[in-house]
Amino acid sequence: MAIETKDLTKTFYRRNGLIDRMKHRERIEVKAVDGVDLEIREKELFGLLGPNGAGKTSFIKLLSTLLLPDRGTASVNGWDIEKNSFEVRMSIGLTLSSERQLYWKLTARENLEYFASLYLVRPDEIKQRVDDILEMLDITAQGDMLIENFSSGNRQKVALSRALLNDPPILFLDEPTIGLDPSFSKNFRKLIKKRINEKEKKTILLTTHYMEEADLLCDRIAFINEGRIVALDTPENLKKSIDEKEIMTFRLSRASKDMIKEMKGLEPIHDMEELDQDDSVVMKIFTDSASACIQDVFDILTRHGSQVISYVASKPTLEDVFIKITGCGLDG
Amino acid sequence: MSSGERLRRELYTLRFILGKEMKLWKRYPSRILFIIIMPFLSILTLYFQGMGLVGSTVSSEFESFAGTQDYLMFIIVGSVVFIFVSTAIWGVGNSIRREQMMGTLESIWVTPTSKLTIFVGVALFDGLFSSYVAFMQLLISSVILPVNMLDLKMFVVIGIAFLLIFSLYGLGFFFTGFVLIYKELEDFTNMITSAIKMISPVSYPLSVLPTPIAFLAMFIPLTYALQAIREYLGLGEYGPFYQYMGLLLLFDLLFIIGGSLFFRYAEKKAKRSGIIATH
Repeated sequence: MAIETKDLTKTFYRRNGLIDRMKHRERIEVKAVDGVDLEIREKELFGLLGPNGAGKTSFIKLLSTLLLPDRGTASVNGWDIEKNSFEVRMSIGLTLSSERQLYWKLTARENLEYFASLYLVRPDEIKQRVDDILEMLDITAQGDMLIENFSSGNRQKVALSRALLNDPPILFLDEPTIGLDPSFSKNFRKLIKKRINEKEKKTILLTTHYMEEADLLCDRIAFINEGRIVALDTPENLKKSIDEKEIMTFRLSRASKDMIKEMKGLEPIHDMEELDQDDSVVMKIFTDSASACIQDVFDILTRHGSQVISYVASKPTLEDVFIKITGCGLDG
Repeated sequence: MSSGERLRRELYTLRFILGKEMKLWKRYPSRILFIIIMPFLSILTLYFQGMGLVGSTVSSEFESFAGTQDYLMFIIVGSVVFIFVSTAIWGVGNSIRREQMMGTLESIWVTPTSKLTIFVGVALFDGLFSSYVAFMQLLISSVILPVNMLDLKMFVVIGIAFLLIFSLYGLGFFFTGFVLIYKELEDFTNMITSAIKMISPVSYPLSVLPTPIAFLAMFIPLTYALQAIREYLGLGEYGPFYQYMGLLLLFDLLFIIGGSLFFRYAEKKAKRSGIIATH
């Protein structure tokens, strides 16, 4: 196994300012990672999917030795994260979601040469290694530009280059496409999948809250919510785990209990969920056939005076699976 | 990787840390102006201060409590040594704080290079920078003021300052641990630096201080370094030179061990509480 965790647990205790502490002595307890058991295979591209604050970044930081666990164990490339932190760091490359993980007043090449030395790359290989990686990620032309003059996307490419400097077998990519425009994200995902995972044969643990990203890239996905792994399988199997073949998504002006009760009585409808969003309600209806019940649903909505703002019928997505399991969306 | 190979690569890393600090420093042009003008301002302020207070660079009044008439030389020695004090105590901590603010600290922390190498690299850069400022102050004093600060005795003074700096870096490790846990330390930095300057004999001899404050000075290695330097340069009678050297060595040992232990505790605490990279 490339990565293995057993009962890995991390709790943070938050306290406010001094005055608040005097008023309220109790600490706010946040379980960031809660008893996670996970095995990630070598050369696998594994996705950790969950909303903001679900514990994704904390999990990666534990595996990267940036945090110490309260309980449980974890090994990375066969090394224990607490006992063999040097060997773990030699085995991994990490990119964080922050744009400011590089020195903006240094060029890409200067950044990479500096980090190559921190990754203890052989001194006589540093220059060649940096040149090779810049070429691999197609940013050789910008190598001597200051990072402050880079686009967000190319900055993320430099961050990925840095993670590859010591040619580690395992990469941790924390929200790699956050803040990137759609077309660049698409190319970046291709780079991760085809070049880094399939050609360079790196094991990749990727966190994201973009379901399409996880769906497109990952061999297997774990859903994480409130620090716990709530589901784990291939994207296909996760989507198949929903019995229903279609999902009708309505945005309504309002939804009453009586209306929902009446809809649930319709034969083709298996399940329903409502999410309050600002001044409207999003209602998802899980069914075997949308066309078989659409007329009845509209009749009920009209009878109860609920105005339809939008309506879409679709196949189940990973987000639908996530909502069904956790009762909340990936936006948190 | 064998431990010998690791050591070799970590030593090589020092070169890149120095290079990075130098490049970052150069990318802000106002700093060039700062290092050209600042040594003049510091030294000329001391000179005019002396002229304003005693009307000359020497004073028999001053001799009555400092043991030397040479007010200007007395205070220049204090000023030059204090450049290293400030840098050694705060250089590494401030550098960690800068990395926290820039967002690069976690990227550094996750690399296999030991923290000691990173600290030594930063300390070397700061040390070179301080040496430049100190040398310029001595040069300016010797060229445009009526004191000769650049004779062979300065090599012994540098040796004494070197002993002092070790203990100060021990304190520096302690404050770096503080930065990891408590973050914003600018006010604290200013307060401690001012307190050290007030308690130890940087600008005046200990004899002018009230007894309880002069007693506190006994716990600051800077006191012994300045006493030893002034004794050696004949700027008054300050007592047993070799005893001061021994005390400096003792402080080196205590502060380096104590500072390192506290830093390790602070790093572990920061990793447990998840506050390493928070602002």
